[in-house]
Amino acid sequence: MRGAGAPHPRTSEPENPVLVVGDLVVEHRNRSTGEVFRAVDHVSLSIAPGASVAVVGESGSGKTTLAMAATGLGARGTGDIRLLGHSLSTIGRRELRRLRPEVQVVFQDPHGSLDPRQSVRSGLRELRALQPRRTSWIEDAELLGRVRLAPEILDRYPHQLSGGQAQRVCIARALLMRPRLIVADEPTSGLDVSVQADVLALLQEIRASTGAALLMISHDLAVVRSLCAEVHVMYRGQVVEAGPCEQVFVAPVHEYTRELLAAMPGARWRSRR
Amino acid sequence: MSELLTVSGLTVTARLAADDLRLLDAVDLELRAGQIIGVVGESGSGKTTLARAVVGLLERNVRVDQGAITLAGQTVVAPGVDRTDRIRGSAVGMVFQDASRSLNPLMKVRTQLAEVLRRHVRDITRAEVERRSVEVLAQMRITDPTRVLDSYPHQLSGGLRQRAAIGLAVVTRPALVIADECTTALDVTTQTKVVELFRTLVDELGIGLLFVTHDLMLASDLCDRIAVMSRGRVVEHGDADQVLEQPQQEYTRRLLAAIPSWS
Ligand SMILES: Nc1ncnc2c1ncn2[C@@H]1O[C@H](COP(=O)(O)OP(=O)(O)O)[C@@H](O)[C@H]1O
Ligand SMILES: Nc1ncnc2c1ncn2[C@@H]1O[C@H](COP(=O)(O)OP(=O)(O)O)[C@@H](O)[C@H]1O
Ligand SMILES: [Mg+2]
Ligand SMILES: [Mg+2]
Repeated sequence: MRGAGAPHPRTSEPENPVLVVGDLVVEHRNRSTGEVFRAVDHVSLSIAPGASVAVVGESGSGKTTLAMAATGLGARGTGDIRLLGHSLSTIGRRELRRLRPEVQVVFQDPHGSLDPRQSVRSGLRELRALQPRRTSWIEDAELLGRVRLAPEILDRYPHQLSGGQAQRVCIARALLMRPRLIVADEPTSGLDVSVQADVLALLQEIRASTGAALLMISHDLAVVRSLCAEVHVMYRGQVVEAGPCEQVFVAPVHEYTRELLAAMPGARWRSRR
Repeated sequence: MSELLTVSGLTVTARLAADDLRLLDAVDLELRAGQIIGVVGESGSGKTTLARAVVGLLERNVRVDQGAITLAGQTVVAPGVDRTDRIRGSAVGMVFQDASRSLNPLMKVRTQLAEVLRRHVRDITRAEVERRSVEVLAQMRITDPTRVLDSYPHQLSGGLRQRAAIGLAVVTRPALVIADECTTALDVTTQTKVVELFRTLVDELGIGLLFVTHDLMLASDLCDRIAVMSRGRVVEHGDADQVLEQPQQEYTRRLLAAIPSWS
């Protein structure tokens, strides 16, 4: 099924998952010692259009490696990945480039994702030049409005933005591409709780209004439960438990999931509410 | 009952090229022995400045303008007064977020513990240094103290490194420990163990702990008292249960409302 013969992904069956990861294994080789480390160890998951799926786990568990491999942005590994109906192992370079705008990634460090030499406006102009037809649906000021930023922000440079503002700009840039899948890798980890709450609400709203699916990577169970319907718990490269949040968080089966839940700060406060 | 640490009306200012910036504005705090006070607030609210003021580690452009800090009744900080070098490392121990600020990356844990002990315990014998080093790591619930003593910080896991840093802070048996975001870089399961360790240390040794964190939930699990900071001020200060269950200030209520709900 080379490329699924579907040059226009938007016309494919609506019920086809936006992402299917089958038995993925990704290994990193340490350049100096030559040692091989298996960061993702036989992981499978599937994301339906418009779904909200989370991957949780502690640092080093393989979450970022999984997300990068699944979106064709990082070390590829072995296993089947179907992104928007295309198999990543057979897709051609040009086709992959065409797919790219439909999968947008929001990273933890918003300042690191923005070019420090470019104002917000000129950064958007550059994106528009790359994808003129795809991006013509909305004006700059209105786009910023969608992420609750004032138009004045257009003339700012990244260093003039707070962490929360910079993350909104990153989300606006992702939104501009009208993606079908948004991957958010710890998008609020460096932010204060009040800013985090706003960014999470924004992601939720964008998902609802555009129908994009969300793959949320986080180490914070509360964040995941507030935003996603389904969760995969990763431990040492493996998904040890997966299912609807309401099932996994209420009746965890795996020992590690229980440990994570028990370690969540705030038990004392929650027990008294 | 007498207070171990008292901060009263502490006002701290930074001199900048253009003008002055008030970092702390009339801050009041009290802490007794055997108690944990959580200093919480969003980034930039002044938590670290407060923690550093207590140990006399303010940066060079920063000055105490008004107020005082007393430790066990003695004034250690006031405008123009800094007696913190007498208490730092002996009566007051410190643990930072980044274990590399608490521990010297170039020295084995054993050497660092020995150095602190020799500096603060007069005429301590070699055997006593060894005994107390092993003892303090055992107190940190480190199961293999000898291996940790013989390691450089980078050879230890994050959790073990932070335990060694706490061991270094308490080996001189200080009355007060200041911990600034010392679990922030750790994974939750490791964080929980460090927090439980702090609770045990405070209960067993009767030290006072000033625990700085941006995580209100973490503070609610650990602390007896909570001080909420915003823009250099302590906006609310009291019994932890009271602050969390019946916050008096709008700011505290907003902070609590921003925490993702769990249900
Ligand atoms: N480029 C790389 N080279 C070598 N090892 C890597 C690389 N990227 C990640 N790793 C290792 O793979 C494991 C998983 O990392 P990562 O996917 O970043 O986990 P997480 O996002 O859950 O923190 C870690 O042990 C990490 O050190
Ligand atoms: N030496 C300094 N000179 C100028 N401003 C400073 C200095 N130290 C801290 N500040 C500022 O004071 C405020 C409080 O900082 P800090 O105490 O580190 O807050 P927190 O630990 O709560 O994040 C911040 O706005 C910070 O930029
Ligand atoms: Mg990661
Ligand atoms: Mg700080």
